[in-house]
Amino acid sequence: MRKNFNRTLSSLEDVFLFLDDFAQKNGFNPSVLNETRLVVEELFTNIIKYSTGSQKKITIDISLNGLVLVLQLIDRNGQPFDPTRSAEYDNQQTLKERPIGKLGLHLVKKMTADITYQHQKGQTILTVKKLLKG
Amino acid sequence: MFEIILTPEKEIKLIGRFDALQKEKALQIFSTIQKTSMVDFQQLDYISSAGLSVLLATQKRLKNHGEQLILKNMSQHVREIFRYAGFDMIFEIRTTIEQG
Repeated sequence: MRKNFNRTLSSLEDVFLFLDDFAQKNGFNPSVLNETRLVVEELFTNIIKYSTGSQKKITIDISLNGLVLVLQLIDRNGQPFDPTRSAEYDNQQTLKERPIGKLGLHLVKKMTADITYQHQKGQTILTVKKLLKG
Repeated sequence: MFEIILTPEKEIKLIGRFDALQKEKALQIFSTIQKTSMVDFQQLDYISSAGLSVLLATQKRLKNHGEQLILKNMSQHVREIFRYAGFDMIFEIRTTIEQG
């Protein structure tokens, strides 16, 4: 399934509906649905926040290949933007040391098997693979 | 759907989906909290890093004057996110339902 979303935070409502629909069709349990929501929310809001300069829609593609859930976010902003190269989040820091923020991609990495970045012809494609338990 | 309810017992109940869309509203409400408070997660289905950042900012502010948020009744899924974030080290998380 694939759908385009406006480049704004308020699109999140529609993004969740889109994911809910896919989850329902594929019989996801609430925990898998929530992890899927989290991965997509973090990547989507990251693009809105850091890949600025155009109003082009963001495409989300979701598919299931056996027990591998494949999520793709396609950003046609034109500028290369690679969130996978962000600094590592240290989840052992004390309360005082903790930065507010920087946590989203860390959670995505924890919840997925693989995250890859490609930039070609003005398109940035983030592909995330998540293994579902049989 | 997301709601924050401040109960007469000064407890904070989180209900629904605490995502990036709710961050500003939640920050406003949490900024009014000055004392050690219990946050009840029983009816919270979902939290993302945006929701976590509101709790973290509040915890930092409260701890500066010896107060804190204490979290309770988390679902297994939410508990796992706290563990991934390492937030189980910076919040007291109660696993049983408080009596009285």
